[in-house]
Amino acid sequence: MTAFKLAGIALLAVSAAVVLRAYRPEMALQLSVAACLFLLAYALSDIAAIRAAVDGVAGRFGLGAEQLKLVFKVIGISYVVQFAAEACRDAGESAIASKVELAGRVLIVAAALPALLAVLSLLSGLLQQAP
Amino acid sequence: MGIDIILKIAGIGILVAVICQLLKQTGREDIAMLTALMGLIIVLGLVVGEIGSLFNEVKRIFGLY
Repeated sequence: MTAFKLAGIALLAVSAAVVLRAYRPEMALQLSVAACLFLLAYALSDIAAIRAAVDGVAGRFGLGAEQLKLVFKVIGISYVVQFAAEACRDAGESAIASKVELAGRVLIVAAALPALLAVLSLLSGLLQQAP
Repeated sequence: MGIDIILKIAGIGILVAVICQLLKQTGREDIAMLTALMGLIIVLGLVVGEIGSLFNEVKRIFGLY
């Protein structure tokens, strides 16, 4: 089963990283990054299938393709940014980690801004229509 | 990418640690430092390729262009 496989890989990587951290902390960081990459790649292969399924049924529930694309874009940005931030935090550089997270949040707001503006203009149109 | 890269990095790290200890015991601190740097560069080369492929995958799946 895949869940047991993932858990085993994570435990193996953690024990190797703990042994390595005592002698070579920089290698332990690389090891944890590699383990994170491996687990994330495992998740991504399933996310691709989920996205295809959601795209298939979205039209039936009145969700536009544009909004769905936006949602997945935001999820992708947050995955990448959080991956980098956690690696930084593991290495003890929490200042860099928080800056990466801040930049990621700004990116997400910038990506979602057109949708927000569309909602606002829709609202103002509704308010002007009301007597 | 597979589990082998994790084991590879762990192996390289332990090997570099042992070599460094040996070199330090025999008094060659400069060569020990160079060995540590070399090991880090090798491991970084391994990891950077994988990071690139993961980011490409994320870009493809989530439509980040």
